[in-house]
Amino acid sequence: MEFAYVDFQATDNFGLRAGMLLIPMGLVNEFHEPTVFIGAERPVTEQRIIPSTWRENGGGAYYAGDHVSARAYVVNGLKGSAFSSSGVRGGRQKGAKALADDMAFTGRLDFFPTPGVFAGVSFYTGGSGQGAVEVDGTEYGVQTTIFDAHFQAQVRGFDFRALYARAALDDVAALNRSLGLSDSDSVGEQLTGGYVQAGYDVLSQVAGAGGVGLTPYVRYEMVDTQAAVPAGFTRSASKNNTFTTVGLELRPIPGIVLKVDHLWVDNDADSGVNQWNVSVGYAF
Amino acid sequence: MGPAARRVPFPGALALLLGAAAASGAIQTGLISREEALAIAFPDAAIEESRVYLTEKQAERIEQEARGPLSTRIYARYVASRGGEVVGRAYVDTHVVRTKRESLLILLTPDGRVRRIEVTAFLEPREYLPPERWLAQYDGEGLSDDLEIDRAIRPIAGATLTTHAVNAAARRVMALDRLLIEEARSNR
Repeated sequence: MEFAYVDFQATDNFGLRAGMLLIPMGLVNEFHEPTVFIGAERPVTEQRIIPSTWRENGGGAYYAGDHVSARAYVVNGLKGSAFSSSGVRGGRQKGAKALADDMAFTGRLDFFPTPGVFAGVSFYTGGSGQGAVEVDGTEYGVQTTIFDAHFQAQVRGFDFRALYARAALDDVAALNRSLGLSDSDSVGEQLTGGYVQAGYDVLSQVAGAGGVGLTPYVRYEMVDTQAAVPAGFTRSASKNNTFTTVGLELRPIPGIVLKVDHLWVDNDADSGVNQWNVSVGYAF
Repeated sequence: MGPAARRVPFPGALALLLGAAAASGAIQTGLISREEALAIAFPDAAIEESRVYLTEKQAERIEQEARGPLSTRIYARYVASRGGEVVGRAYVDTHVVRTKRESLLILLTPDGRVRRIEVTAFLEPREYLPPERWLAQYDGEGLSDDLEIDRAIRPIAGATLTTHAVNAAARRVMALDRLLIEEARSNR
């Protein structure tokens, strides 16, 4: 299960929410169906720094106005003992049997100047120790803070999205030690990533296209999951990557999408593996 | 350093339980009734209510002009008059968005353009309810090739099915209204 919650709609615009919640960060996490995001794969930033599909147990409030929307939740924190040099993705607890020694606060604020266009920021901060990171009898909280700024515009067949995300982790030296990580295997003390992406539905302005969509797209992305590491550890050149994606998306009817793209992966270690990605999505 | 706290398993079953409750209860708060919407759109007007029963031939033509199937062949129609002059018309279009129903009161100008769209019932989860600002894109729009999502109408991120359902309903109602007006003129 990806999310399940109860809303108490106090007014037309404001309500309270509790259950298993989607963390309200980035552009993909809350709308992660393949028919919504462009690309056969999600942006790497929204896999390794904002680990979509990211859902945790908790509660909070939401507001949806004409020009502004906001959400603020308290949730169980990530599980730092599952972090790696590739990011925080392994730390998702996904609801079932989730540990809540350390809780987190997450929120989001978006501004909608006109239909189809919005910009906003989101954040997450909380402990990730969950009582499982202990070195020499001392327990560490592994405070984890993630921030992102994002923009999206969908106008007359054009789809433009951009996102920048940054994560900062405390107690990483202790975390590395508890996990037995050394040298360039360190969990990142800072992680940075971002992308710009554009697509255009070439059939969108064609009368009689019958709702069929055909969207070529391109995405350029930079992700470094070891932007900083603790003293005594080294950054791996293989963790600082650029990703260039060029692809095509076909929507024969609303709710069905076929995607194919080519991904070029580049880093200073020359360890990037270029690949073709093909996916089929169905929203039902 | 983190707080010294006891380990507390957070019951996943709680989320499942809460989710089941959410799925079973669609609460209709903040939606306007047909009568309220008609009174606001056509103040001091006399409202004549009728039912339209479409023949197969009429339905075929509407579907052709609307470029989509009809969800029913029975429509509630409202004609607003002031001083003997028609100041607008309105139709109720009820359809399924994803798995649950939505009812729209689509108010038209005398020349058959959208005056306003009001949601009078919405049984899908509240976050998929089309916002008023998004619906306002239809105000003044007629039945044209440009009246499509990603053309004159911008999408809502994450609510694709809602946007297509509303657009299809707007096209159906304008095609229906055009047909009825043309038939009334030819019968004079």
